[in-house]
Amino acid sequence: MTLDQANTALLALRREFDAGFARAPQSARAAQENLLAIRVGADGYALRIQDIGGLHLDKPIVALPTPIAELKGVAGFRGRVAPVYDLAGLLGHALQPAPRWLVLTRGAEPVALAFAHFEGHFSIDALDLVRPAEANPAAASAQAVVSDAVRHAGALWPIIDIAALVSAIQRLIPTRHAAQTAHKFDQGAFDHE
Amino acid sequence: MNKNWTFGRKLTFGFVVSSIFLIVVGMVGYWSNYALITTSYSVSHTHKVAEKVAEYLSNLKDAETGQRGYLLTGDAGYLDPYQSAIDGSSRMIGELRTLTADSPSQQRRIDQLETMTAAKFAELKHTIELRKAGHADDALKIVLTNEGKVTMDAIRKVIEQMTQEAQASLDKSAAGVEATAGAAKTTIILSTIVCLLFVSVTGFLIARSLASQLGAAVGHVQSSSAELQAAATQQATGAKQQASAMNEISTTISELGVTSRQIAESAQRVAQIAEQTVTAARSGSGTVDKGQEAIGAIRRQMDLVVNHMLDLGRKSQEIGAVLDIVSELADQTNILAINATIEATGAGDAGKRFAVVAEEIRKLADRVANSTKGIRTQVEDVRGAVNTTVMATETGAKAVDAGARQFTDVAQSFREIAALVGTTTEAAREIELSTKQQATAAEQVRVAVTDVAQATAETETSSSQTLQTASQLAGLSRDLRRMIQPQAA
Repeated sequence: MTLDQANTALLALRREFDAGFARAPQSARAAQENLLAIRVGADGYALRIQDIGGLHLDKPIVALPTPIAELKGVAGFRGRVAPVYDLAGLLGHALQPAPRWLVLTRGAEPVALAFAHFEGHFSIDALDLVRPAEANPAAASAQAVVSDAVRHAGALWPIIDIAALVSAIQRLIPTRHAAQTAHKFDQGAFDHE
Repeated sequence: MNKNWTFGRKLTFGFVVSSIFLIVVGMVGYWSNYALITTSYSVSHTHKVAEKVAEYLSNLKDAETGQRGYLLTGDAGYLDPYQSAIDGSSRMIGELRTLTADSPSQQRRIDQLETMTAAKFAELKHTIELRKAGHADDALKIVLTNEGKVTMDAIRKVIEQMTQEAQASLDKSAAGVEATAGAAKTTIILSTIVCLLFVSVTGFLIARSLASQLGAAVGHVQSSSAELQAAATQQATGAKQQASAMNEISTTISELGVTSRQIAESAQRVAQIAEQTVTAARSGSGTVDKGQEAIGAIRRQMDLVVNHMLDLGRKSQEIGAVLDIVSELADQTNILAINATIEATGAGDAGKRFAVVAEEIRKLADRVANSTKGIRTQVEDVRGAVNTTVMATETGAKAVDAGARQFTDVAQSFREIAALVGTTTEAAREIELSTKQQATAAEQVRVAVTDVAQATAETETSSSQTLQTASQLAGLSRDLRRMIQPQAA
C-alpha cells in the first residue's frame, strides 16, 4: 500500500465513520439479520446473534469428570457458570483439543459452545436465506440442529439452530443429572446476582 | 701318403722324390760322363805317351840316319838331323817323364832308355868325330861292330815295352769305359723306369687326392658362392631399401630442421610476448593492490549498511509488537462490539440505537483489524525486505570478502604470473637456443644421413658387383668341378 492509498483509505474511513453517525435510523434495517460466521473443522457455520448471549475469547475452562465426551467443563460468564460443550463434537465432527472461542446461548439455562475459528460478523437480508434442502451435505448428521443456511462471500453457511442444539444437549444429559445441574446452575446464578 | 697332407706338401713330396731320382740319375750320368772323360783323358795321355815313345824312337832313327849319311858322304848337311835329334832328345825324355810320372815302371824304362840313348849318342858322336877327323875307316869299323845296332835293339825293346804298357793301359781304359757306360746306361734306365713309376703312382695318388679334396673344396666354394650370391642379393635388396629409407629419413630430417627453425622463431616471439606479459602482470599487480584498497573501503561501507539494516529490522520487530497490541485491541474491540450488538439485540427496540453504535464500533474495529493486517503485511514486507537486504548485504559482504581474498589471490597470482612468465621467458630462450642447436644438429644429421645414403647407394652398387662376382664365382666353381669331376658336371 502506497502512502497515497493509505491517505485515501484514511479519508474514506473518516468519512464513513462520520456518515454513520449522521444517518437517521433506518426502519428497513430491521428486516436484516445479524449472524456470526464460525468454522468447525473444515466446515463453515453461522449463528444468529439473537440466539447468543455473548461471545468470548480464551475463557478459562474448568474440566469436570463426566461421561459426556462433548462436555469440556464449566466456565464463568459475568458471575454465572455455564457448561461448555465442544460444538464440533455436537455437530458430528472430531473433538477439538483446545478451542479458544466460546459463544454463550440465551435462555434460562445458557450453555457455552466452544469452537476453534471465528470468521466474523455479517448481516444478511431475509432473501439470502436458503431452504434446508440446500444446506451443506457435510452437516447431514447434524441435520436436526441446522435450521437454515445463508449465502455469504460466495459460500453457503448453514445456520445452527441454537434451541435445537440445546435440546440435543439436554438429551445427552440424564434427567436427574440434568435437573441437578440446572438447579445448581440456577442457585449459583441467583447467588451471584 | 698321408691324407692330412696339404696339396703343396704332396706336390713337394712328389717333386722332392722325383728330384731325388733325377739327382741320382744325374749323378750317375755325371759320374759316368766323368769316368768316360777321365778314361778319355787317360786314353789320350796313353796315346800321347805312345806317340812320344814313337817320336823318341824316330828321333833316334833320324840321328842314326844323319850319322850314317855323314859317315858315307862326309857331307855336314847330314848332321842336321843328328844335331836336332840330340837337341830334342832331352826334351822328349823330360816330356816322357812328365807324361809317365804316374807309372814307376815307365819311369824305370825311361831311365833305361835315357841311359841307352846316351850310349847311342856317344857311339854316334864318336864315329862322327872320327869321320870329321878323317878317320872314316875307324868310324866304319866301329859301325861294323854292331855295337850301335845292339844299343838300338835294346832301345827298341824298351820302347816296345813302353808301347805295350801303353797299349795295355788303353785296353784297360777301353774295358773301364765300356763297364762305366754299361753301368751308367743300366742305372739311367732303371732310375728312369723307377722314376717314371714313382711319378706315375705319385701323380695318380696326388691327382686322386687332389680331385677328391679339390672336388670337396670346389663343392664348398660352389655352395659358398651360392650362399654368397643369395647374401649379395639380400644385401642388395636391403641396401636398396636402406637407401630408400635413408632418403625418407633425409627428407624427414630436412622437414624437422625447417620445423625446428619455425619453433625457434615461435620461441623468440614467445619470449618477447612473455616480457610484455611480465610488464603487464606488474602493472596488473599494482592495479589489483588499488582495487584491494577499494574493496576494503566497500567492505567497511557494507558493514555500516548491515548494521543499519539490522537496526531497521529491530525497529520493524518493535513495530510488529505494537501492531500486535493494536491487533489485540481491534480484536477485543470487535468482540466488545459484537457483544454490544448481542446486548442491543437482547434489549429489543430500546437497544436499536445502541445497536447502531455497536455496529459502527464493530465496523471500526473491523477496519482497524484490516488496517492492522495491512500494516502488518507492510511491516512484514519491510522486515522481509530488510532481512533480504541484510542477507543480500551479508552475501555482498561475503562476496566482498571473497573478492578481497580473490584480489589477494589475484595479486599473488599476478606476482606468480610475473615470476612464472619470467621463468617462461628463460625457458622460451632456452627453447629457442635448444631449437637452434637442434636445427643445426638436424642439418648435421641430414648431411650425415645423406652421406649414409650415398654410402648405401655405393653399398648397393657394391652388392650388385658382389652379386655379379658371386655369380661368376659360382660359374667358375661349376667349371672347376666339371674340370675336376667331369662325371659330376
